[in-house]
Amino acid sequence: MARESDASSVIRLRTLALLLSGCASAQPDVAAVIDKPTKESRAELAQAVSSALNGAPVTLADDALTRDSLLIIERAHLSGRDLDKPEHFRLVKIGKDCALVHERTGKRTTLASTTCVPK
Amino acid sequence: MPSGSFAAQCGSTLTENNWLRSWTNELYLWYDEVTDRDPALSTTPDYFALLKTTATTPSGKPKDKFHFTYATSAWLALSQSGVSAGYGAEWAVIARFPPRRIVVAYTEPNSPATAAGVNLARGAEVLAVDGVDAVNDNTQTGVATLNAGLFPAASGETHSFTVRDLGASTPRTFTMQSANVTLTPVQNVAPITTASGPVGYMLFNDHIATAESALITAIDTLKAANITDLVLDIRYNGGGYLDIANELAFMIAGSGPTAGRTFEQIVFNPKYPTTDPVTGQALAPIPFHTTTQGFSVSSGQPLPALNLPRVFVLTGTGTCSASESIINSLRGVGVQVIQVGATTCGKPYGFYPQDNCGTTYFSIEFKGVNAIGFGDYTDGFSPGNTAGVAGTLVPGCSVADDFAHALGDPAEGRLAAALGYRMSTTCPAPSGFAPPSVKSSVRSALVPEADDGLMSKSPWRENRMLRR
Repeated sequence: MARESDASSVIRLRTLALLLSGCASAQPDVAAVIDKPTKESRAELAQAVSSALNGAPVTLADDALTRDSLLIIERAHLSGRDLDKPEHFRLVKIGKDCALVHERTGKRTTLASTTCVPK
Repeated sequence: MPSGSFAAQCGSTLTENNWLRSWTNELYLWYDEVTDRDPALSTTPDYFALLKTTATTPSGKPKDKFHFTYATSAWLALSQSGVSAGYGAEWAVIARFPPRRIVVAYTEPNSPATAAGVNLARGAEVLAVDGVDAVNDNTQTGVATLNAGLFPAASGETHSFTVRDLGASTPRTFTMQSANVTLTPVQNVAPITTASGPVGYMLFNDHIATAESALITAIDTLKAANITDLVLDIRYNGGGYLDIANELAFMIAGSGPTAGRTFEQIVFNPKYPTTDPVTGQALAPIPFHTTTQGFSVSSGQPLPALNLPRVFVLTGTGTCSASESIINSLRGVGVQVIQVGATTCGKPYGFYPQDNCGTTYFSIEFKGVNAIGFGDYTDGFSPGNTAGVAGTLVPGCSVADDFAHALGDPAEGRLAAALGYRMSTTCPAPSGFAPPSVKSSVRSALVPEADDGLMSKSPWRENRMLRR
């Protein structure tokens, strides 16, 4: 009995795993770029980056994430012999939503005012 | 008492000064050369200014030239890699005081400076900004107007400029609006045809994250052209990420001389012989990187290499920090470096900037030494035939910056001298830092010694370049 119970538990777990992976595969992350940047979308992007990095002010190019899904953020003033590394963000499309993913932490921020297309 | 006992206790000058005193004693590279003064007798800015060595270098200059502060709010500011408010024109301030001489050193593609109707290019001389005479005006309001126009604080500012383009007999006036400009850190990559084979040239201006991919592309391009020598133009490169310098050094030399060797060893004050006192990590020699480090290319990708036994570097007083590490690290593993231009800035040092009470302090905490233990180039690297007081001598030629030719033009003074030295191991008469169009008889009164054009790129230099 115990073995049957264990086996059925394994089957249930596998079924659950398949269901979860099925859900995930239905909404995969797709690398994306912003297709119609606006004043609102630029402000939203800057706010998302700033929030992910302890609220520090950030300067972005007007065409940020319009040609590449990777956004690299570094100090506005490098000191000349810098031992640290920049921060990386990726824009992804998940279904109809655009989200910014902070690579170091995995934190996702949905960009509600931004439209994007797969890159 | 440890600095932690006084940290972030703001409002009391004595407490803030006590923090500085302890922090300096713990981490300053030359802590034992600092005179211990009563922290109750000075304002905090004045006290910090005293917390450094007063020793001088063999040339007579201060041993510590890099002791400064930033408002923490400014230091914490971030940007998309290589993006900053400006025009995309790098000004070289050749003479800071009237009669001033301000010229365009180089421009960024796709920027306001290169837009139709503006079309600024190297060598253009600034004559007026917002109606103020840039050459002669020395009033307080005039200088403020010049600074505000030349160095806009934000995007969207519109200013008028009168310039005389290189070779033009009459000036022209236009307006330019600042924008968030994206730097192109590697430019003008091309092989130069010579009788003894193609020579590669590249202008490398900034050790920013996007330089990683740009340098790989450049090296791939030059490798495909089967170059036999490389001229690396770092005359305006004030440094940045040390890992980028490391990658480039490897890509020049290849694995032959670098395998198993030290790119650089970081050295702190003698209290910390084995451990980085800030990160707590063991101090191990940094090897040459053979793969990408994940700045703008995913980590772990093999780097291309030119496998050259020597490299020509074009330098100026703006060649600093991580740029000097390229020179020093390659010399440390036996790669021949030939230097053409002017003495470099002399910064084998680095910091872990530290905030306390809204001010971020920069006090030298470590230096980098190469594979043979050399890192004492506080007076910079100097081309071998430099006249007068020089830094660490490197074979090559002392040649002034040549604003009359484009960067990468084989006729440009420094590049031409490098190509000439390559053929005959001879140099033109040393011209050091002297700008070609400034008469030497008046130069000493107009131009700071050993200065071939101050650039506004480096944080340890003034953001506002002009003074009354």
